[in-house]
Amino acid sequence: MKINIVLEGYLKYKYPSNILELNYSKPVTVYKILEDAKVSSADVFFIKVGDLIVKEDYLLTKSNEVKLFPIIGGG
Amino acid sequence: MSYGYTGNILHVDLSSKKHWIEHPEENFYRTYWGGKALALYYMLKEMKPHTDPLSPDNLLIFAPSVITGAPAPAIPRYTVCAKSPLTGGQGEAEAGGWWGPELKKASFDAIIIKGSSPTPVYLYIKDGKVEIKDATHLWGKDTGETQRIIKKELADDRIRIAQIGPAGENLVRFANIVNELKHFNGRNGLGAVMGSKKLKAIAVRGTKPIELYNKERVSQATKEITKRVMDNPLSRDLRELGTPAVVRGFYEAGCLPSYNWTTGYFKEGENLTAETYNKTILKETKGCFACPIRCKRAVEVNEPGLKVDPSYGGPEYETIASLGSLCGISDLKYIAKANELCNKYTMDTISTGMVIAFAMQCYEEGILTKEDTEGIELTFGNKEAVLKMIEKIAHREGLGDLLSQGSYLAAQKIGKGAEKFIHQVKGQEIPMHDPRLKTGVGLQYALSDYGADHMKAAHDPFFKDKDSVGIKEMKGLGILEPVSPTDTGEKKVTLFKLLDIYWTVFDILGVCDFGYVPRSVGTMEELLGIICATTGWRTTWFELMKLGERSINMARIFNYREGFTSKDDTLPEVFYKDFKGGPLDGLRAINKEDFQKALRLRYQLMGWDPDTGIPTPAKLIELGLDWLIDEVK
Repeated sequence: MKINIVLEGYLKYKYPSNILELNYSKPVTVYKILEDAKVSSADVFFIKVGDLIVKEDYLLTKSNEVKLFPIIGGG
Repeated sequence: MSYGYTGNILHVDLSSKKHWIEHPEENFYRTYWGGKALALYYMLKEMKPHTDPLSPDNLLIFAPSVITGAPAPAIPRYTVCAKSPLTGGQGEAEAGGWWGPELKKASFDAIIIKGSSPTPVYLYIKDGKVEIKDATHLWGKDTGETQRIIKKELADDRIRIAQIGPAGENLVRFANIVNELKHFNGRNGLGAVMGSKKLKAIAVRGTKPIELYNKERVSQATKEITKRVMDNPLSRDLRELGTPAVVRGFYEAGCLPSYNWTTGYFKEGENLTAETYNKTILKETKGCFACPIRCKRAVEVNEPGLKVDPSYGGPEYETIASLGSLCGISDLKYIAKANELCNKYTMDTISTGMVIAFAMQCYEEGILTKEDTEGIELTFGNKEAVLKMIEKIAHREGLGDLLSQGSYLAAQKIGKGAEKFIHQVKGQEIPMHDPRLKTGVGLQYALSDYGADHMKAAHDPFFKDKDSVGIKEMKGLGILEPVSPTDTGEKKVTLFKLLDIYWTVFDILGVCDFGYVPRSVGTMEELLGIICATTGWRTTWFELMKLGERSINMARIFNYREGFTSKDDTLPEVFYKDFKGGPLDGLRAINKEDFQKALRLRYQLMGWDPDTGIPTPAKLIELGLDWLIDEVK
């Protein structure tokens, strides 16, 4: 299955590309894809899969787009 | 010889039209440093409890700090304090821009204003000289016109002007003070205090640079921080997208405050994102004194029947949410117009949006009628209605007169259950960050002596992971372990005790949180180095944290004198309920009992009575505030 990671906000400046594509042969947690994509969870506030806000232990069982939103402070 | 500060505090009595200059000892500066700490010293010493905030006896204090004006990154801010007409407690608001550094260059560390002029006046301060000038011809004019006239009549285009518009003159309880048309002492209604004194503006001009103890060291730190700012992704985000950058995350997560906080799900949120903003209304980016980040926006709209002047800046995130999604508005051009009107009239955009959204909900629930609104269809999403209501509030006409008192007083007067639709702490409308996702922010909303404020501490996500900036860079304060943003346990309470004090130090010193950790790249060591190099004082973070704690305790006692109790340290009921609609539907209510426990623990950690939240005599002695012990007996 194909997992597209979309980096939002300042994350897109921090990593080489704002869309990272990963392929897996079996279900995988968000935690694992962050690790494989070398995205620090310290940078991520919200993780969105489809219309759901999920945590890092969420299990992806089919091809999907995972949007990562950076930490958000005051302003 | 003093470094960093001038040694001059200007006192002005507008009733007698007299002014004099005080020259405090070095230890005074080393105890209070500037900002709210210095202001609270005078407010506690010279103002009687239960003073009417709009009476001549209220003090209005403009206070930069001992380091303001040092040419170092992100230290442009200054504080205005008074008793707030919105909350009835300690009022304060910080602003960036250039006015604070200019006041220092004009030879003053602070201005303490009392009394009230019978006719409109403005202050003109140039290189240590002070004049009280007639402002009859300026009264009623908006901020752009006022600035243009003052600069022309003083024949100096480099004058920096802090001023009020018609909302301040008309005593709107959330009127603010603006410098350079786009930098605001935004909250707490301090513009109304200025209006009650018939003080239209303070024009300052200084030609003498601040004396620095070690200029080379300040310069070196500036170069190093600036270089990292240019490379840092978060700073780049602020520069390219500004604070509106946060809209996308909130909108997609379903926590963008919408329809008077009935939901966080705003389906037209894409229209409000920073990317849309940049494509449709952005004209240019702006910055503050000596700041490389340049997070400020200037916007322009040129359409038939809708023009927005870039002189008044552009909407920040708070404004986009409060005058946008909160009112059901998804048209950035109208939000830009609403922002321009608020800025011309000097009204806090958060409170303005909040009172209009409140009135919209009352209208939709049948509590307010078309008769009350004088024919305005005050429904969510009606963008023309928002513009009309801003005019009515600023000029205190019809329903606008009622709303000009703030949502808390307005709801009491309206009755019929309207109280259910207000969301405030200590009378001040809450900002646009939802504490259900950042419980530390919620603690700060509840505890803030000047009512709910999102700038009362760093936000929780910067401490969520062992690799988070807050954990990696702030170990020197004892912050060693991450805490979940939604936790309300002991670790969170302990963390936010420290962050409250740390942020209070920022506010006192005029440091912008976008320049230093955890929000940006300047380190604690670099900031400390700049402070030492500016003042020549061999200070430490221990001394600075005590300064912050001292100021928090002074504010606490000021409010205690005014009758505030632990019952005022609350959160709006909406946050004890789950989100409705969107990706967070049915999730994340704060547990009320846990939150109460957290507040009680916080009192104890602060050295306050766990039941009443009043500082103990021992704590006051520790902080050198023994002169306040009688106030807590």
